[in-house]
Amino acid sequence: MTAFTIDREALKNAALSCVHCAMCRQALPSLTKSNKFADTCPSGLYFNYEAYYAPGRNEIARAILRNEYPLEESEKLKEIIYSCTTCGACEVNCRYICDTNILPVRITEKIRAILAKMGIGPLPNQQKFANYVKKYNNPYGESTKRNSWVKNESILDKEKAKYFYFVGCTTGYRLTPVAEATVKILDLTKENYTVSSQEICCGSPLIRTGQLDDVERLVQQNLEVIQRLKCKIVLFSCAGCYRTVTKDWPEILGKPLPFKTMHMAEYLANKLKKFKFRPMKMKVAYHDPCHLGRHMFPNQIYNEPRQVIDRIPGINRVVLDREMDATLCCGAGGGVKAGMPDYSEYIATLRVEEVRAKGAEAVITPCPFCIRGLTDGAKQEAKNTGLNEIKVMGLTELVIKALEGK
Amino acid sequence: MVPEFRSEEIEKVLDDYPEMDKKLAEKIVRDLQDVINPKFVTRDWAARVPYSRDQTGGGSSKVDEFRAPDIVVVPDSVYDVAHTCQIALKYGVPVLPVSTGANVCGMAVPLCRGIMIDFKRMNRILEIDEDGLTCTVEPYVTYSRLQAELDPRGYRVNVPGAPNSAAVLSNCFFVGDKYFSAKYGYGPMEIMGAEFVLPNGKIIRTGALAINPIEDVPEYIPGKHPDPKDGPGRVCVQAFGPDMTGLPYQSVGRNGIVTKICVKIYPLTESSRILMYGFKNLKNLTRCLSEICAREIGYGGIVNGPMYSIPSLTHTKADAEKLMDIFEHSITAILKITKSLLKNPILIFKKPFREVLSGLMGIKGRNFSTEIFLFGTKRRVELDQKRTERIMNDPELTDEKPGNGTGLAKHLFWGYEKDAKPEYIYKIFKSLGLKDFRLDWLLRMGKMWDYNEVPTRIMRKASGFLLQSPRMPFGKMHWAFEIFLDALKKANYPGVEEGNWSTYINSGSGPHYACLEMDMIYDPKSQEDKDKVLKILVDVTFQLMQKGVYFPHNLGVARDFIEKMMLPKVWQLTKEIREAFQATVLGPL
Ligand SMILES: Cc1cc2nc3c(=O)[nH]c(=O)nc-3n(C[C@H](O)[C@H](O)[C@H](O)COP(=O)(O)OP(=O)(O)OC[C@H]3O[C@@H](n4cnc5c(N)ncnc54)[C@H](O)[C@@H]3O)c2cc1C
Ligand code: SF4
Ligand code: SF4
Repeated sequence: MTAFTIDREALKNAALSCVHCAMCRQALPSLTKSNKFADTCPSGLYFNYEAYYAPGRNEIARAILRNEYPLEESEKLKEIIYSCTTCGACEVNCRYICDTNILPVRITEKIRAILAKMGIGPLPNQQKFANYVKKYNNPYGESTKRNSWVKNESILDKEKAKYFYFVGCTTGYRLTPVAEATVKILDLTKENYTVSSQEICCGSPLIRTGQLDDVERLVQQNLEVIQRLKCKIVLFSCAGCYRTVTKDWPEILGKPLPFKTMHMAEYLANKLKKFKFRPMKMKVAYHDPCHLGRHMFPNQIYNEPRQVIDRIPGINRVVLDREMDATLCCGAGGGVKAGMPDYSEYIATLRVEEVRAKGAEAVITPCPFCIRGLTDGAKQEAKNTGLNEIKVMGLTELVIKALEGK
Repeated sequence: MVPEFRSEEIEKVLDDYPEMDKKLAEKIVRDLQDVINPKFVTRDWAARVPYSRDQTGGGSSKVDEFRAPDIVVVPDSVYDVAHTCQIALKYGVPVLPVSTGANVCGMAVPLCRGIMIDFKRMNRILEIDEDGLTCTVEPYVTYSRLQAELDPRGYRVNVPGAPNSAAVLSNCFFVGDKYFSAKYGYGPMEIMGAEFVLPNGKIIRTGALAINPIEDVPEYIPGKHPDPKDGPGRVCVQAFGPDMTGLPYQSVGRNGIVTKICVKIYPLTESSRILMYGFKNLKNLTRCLSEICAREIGYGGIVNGPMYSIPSLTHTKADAEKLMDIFEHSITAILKITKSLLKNPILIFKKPFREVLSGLMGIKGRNFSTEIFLFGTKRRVELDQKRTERIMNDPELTDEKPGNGTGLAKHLFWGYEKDAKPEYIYKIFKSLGLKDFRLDWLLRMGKMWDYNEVPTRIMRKASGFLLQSPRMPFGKMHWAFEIFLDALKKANYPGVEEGNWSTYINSGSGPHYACLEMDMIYDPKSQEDKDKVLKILVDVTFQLMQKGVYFPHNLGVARDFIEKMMLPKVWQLTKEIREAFQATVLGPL
């Protein structure tokens, strides 16, 4: 059995174990800081039917696995199953209450895989990115050389460096300032690191949308690249890649990874003593990426990025009502940004509104995908309110700004 | 003679409710969409299937039957609901509302099929009335959200022992039992007024919402929650005639669909404390509790019995056994703890450590523990503590000297004591070898009046959870408890050995009555298990009812049968009232 074989019996049991306690439809009671900002399930809050919340999807999973109802007649099925941003807000609540086998995100991902096999899923744009991955090894359909943003060629494909900086598709093709800030920091700390011109998509967008056919190839090929360069630690500036490599790859490989993984947020927190920040007068909020927090249970990375921000003199970090395990997804996860852009932007706008309500002028996040989502949200929010746009900044970019005094 | 109850009869009756004819359903959908936003009316299978279960499973006695509604409506206003009822009446099809679906009687499963009304869009806290001390909310407002809105303003709502993910409205209308029921009464006593739609589609406003009804409800925008308005200083007033607010009580959505509720709120108090005592004999304990209620001490109390029931319902078997060992033989346990903590002597000399230990000693070897909630000014709390102590040791009330477990309660319910240190309980329990015990569980337990999450852990242990919670005078508690124990044994309930059952006594309304909650957890995938648990519930209910005890919990359908058999006149009258309002389905019977 490979990691992607679907154990239908186990899946059915998991779905049937959901008791509809309603704990996962909003922030846990103990984490609810306000009524205004207590919704944590993006799809539920947007579409309103029970079907769009985790317990609803669990019942649909049950019905599919037991062939109960003519679900193939449903026009909404696809929207229901693919509107989950796989943010894990439901899963973390479920697990908080009781150690559980339910794991709603896992159920959704597996049902997506079943629907893909049945020819019902995925959404058209998601299929498009899967085709791009097949053809170009990235979901953006970019045919240019990987990591061509690298200026200093000596860092490319270096053997035996301590750190292998896994740039990822979004950072490498769409948000190169994050990548540039990351290498600048690594240079400043005089780190021995490398960037690969051979890395390819980590598989995250495919796994999250249930398109599993190509995933093993991606993992194996990446693994070969990393092992060829004999690096000890793989470093990420993308929360999605970090989660996929750290959690999904070992499952796919059926064995532990032959290297350590580390996210830049951890790296920065470890190196804080080395940095001399200049004062920056700014009121900021920190947005927890789902993939760095809830998805990493039991090793959620919550404190490190906050430590980094708080160390910069003059920065005032406001606390959002939805944070850490109760964070609200930026709306971009689970293939939703590609598949349902309007809904994705709506959720991002809600998140930016929370940032505004707390009086912050910028929101910092250590994930390029969240940056993209929130940037769209910030634009929309500014349009709605007529106010100045809330700045959205990567953690590494903030650090560079504070180091350079800009 | 206890009447025999056959679940096949229920199944036979439910067979009369087949899926709706496709053409009829399409016609109804079109009619509904004339008024309601078409996006929120559907007969799409994937949108229907999720309503085939609520917290109780499929709602019927069969473990693998999951009935879906024919049509789903997600209304935004009382007018949407009224229109739905009118259309249901026109075509003679059933209507069933659901708010959070966290009830324990399968009442939010559409066993008769028909139109399901899901209240997720009616989630607004409409008004907070600091003058009249009320707030008005819609059906999908949960306790945790309301509490989060009230707390910064210095108020609270009377929270039930249910998970705080339950809705305020349906809990109050379903005669919920609250933490402060001893002082303020049960669910309906919290209700100052309501707005509801009769089965014939008429909108009724009662009590505090009869004058100044809230008609300009803010527009629903997904994920946005408008600020509640200030209230006009509401009081509950009734015109001549019967109080219509009572019509939807306990009626599982059949006598009327409630769209707004105005409930009481209470100012936060200066000081609070939870006292804990351990007793061997339940009679002694209930006599003392009754006296405490009669003298209006505190706000309520819970009796947990037998002592090991909470650990066994919320922890793994191994951890529960270790905890039972602590409760039953605390001297040995304390020696063990001290030995293991000697590695960390600083801890031993700290006050919280001694308090937790003395608390454990207080409940050592006792079968039942009780928690008494005190609130008020500092002086009042201190005085009430002394009065409670006197009652608990009054030889006219009890022939045993109870143990005092307050030291343990102080750190367990850390949210209500300034210098509480829950980590000490955690360290002590961990040092005794509890493996799967998590600090966050302890922390979540600590503020139960503000965010109650513990009950959810109970129902999650085996996924199946059913309870009966009859209300009776304190004097009958011991007798009812014995009936429950007897029924467990007779039915060969598989959870006896595992300790997967428990009883709680919640003080009810002053000294007048209390509620004995009888919980059982079971494997919901096993028909045999479910049959046994349902049989116990029905047996207990029949026996208690024969002695005049009122019962509220049984699976919705079973309840109809029981009511018809045991209270035929009441049942007939209710049926006539419902018919007068043209209810389309009066329950399966
Ligand atoms: C472990 C556990 C412990 C519990 N302990 C307690 C306790 O100590 N005290 C206590 O009071 N309760 C307790 N409960 C039960 C709790 O009261 C219910 O779960 C909850 O209040 C029901 O509300 P809900 O919002 O989940 O309603 P739902 O399950 O959605 O509905 C309950 C019923 O009300 C009807 N209904 C829903 N909305 C409306 C409406 N707008 N108008 C008319 N009818 C409507 C539904 O059709 C259904 O019949 C406990 C539950 C659990 C799981
Ligand atoms: S998924 Fe978990 S938390 Fe959500 S309703 Fe089901 S059991 Fe409860
Ligand atoms: S993963 Fe996120 S979007 Fe999906 S059901 Fe859970 S909370 Fe909702």
